[in-house]
Amino acid sequence: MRPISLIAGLFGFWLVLTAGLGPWSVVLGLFLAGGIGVAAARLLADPGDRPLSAGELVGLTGYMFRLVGFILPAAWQVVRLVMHRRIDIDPVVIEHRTRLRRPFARVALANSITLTPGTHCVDLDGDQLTIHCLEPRFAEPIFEGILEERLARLLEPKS
Amino acid sequence: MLDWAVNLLSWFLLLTGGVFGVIGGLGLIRFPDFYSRLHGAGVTDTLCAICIVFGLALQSGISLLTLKLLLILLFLLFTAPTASHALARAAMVDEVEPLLDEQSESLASHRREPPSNI
Repeated sequence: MRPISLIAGLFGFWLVLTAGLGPWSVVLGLFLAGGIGVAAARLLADPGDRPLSAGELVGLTGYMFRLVGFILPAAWQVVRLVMHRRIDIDPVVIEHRTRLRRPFARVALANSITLTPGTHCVDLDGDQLTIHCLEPRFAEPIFEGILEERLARLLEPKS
Repeated sequence: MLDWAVNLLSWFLLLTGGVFGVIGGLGLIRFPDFYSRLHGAGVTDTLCAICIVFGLALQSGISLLTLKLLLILLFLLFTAPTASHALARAAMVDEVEPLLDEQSESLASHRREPPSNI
């Protein structure tokens, strides 16, 4: 079932991007979506998690755009570090235990951390995240748990 | 008048995005080790991409093209961290040690073997 929904999603994405319903566009789209779907199917390990509902998917899209509000100030800090006459950074590796229980929510948190310049999730093992930070101050929002709280509200409403 | 303002804002965003792209590249060169260089590349993935996509969206107005651009941005925001995580994790598994502050724990103390089913 999962390869079929993957192929359908890829084909839908192709149709929006090409905005064409000509025969060649459809045939090529089906061929590519099918090929990628079949090739990727064996790489898709069972996540041990229920699939996302449509509401959660919409909520996650909104979360991505809200995340931009987090990313921009952090990216600006990194830009300032890059442009400084002398590169003066104190990178640290930190360990953070997340209270999120759902595997999908944990992956979303790790991705959000990696997407934010200045912090990089190197490893995610169970509830434990290993994070490389360009400077200790970049880790503060992670310890404050703002993103975690938003993800918990979105993906684990009963917790 | 409005067209003029939209064009100006669009060009400002496109140029700013281009500048951030160059700064991201500069970060790749200037930062001292593999892991910190990934943070430099992160600027290109985020600030640069966001500015350029919104600059282009202003040019395209409200149309299917704008939806495509936003989809591409969303796609980038999903795939960029996945790719850089894969790079960082591969480096960690391969025992590449980052340059760290003296008070920081070493990455080696957090290293775990990758699951055998990958």
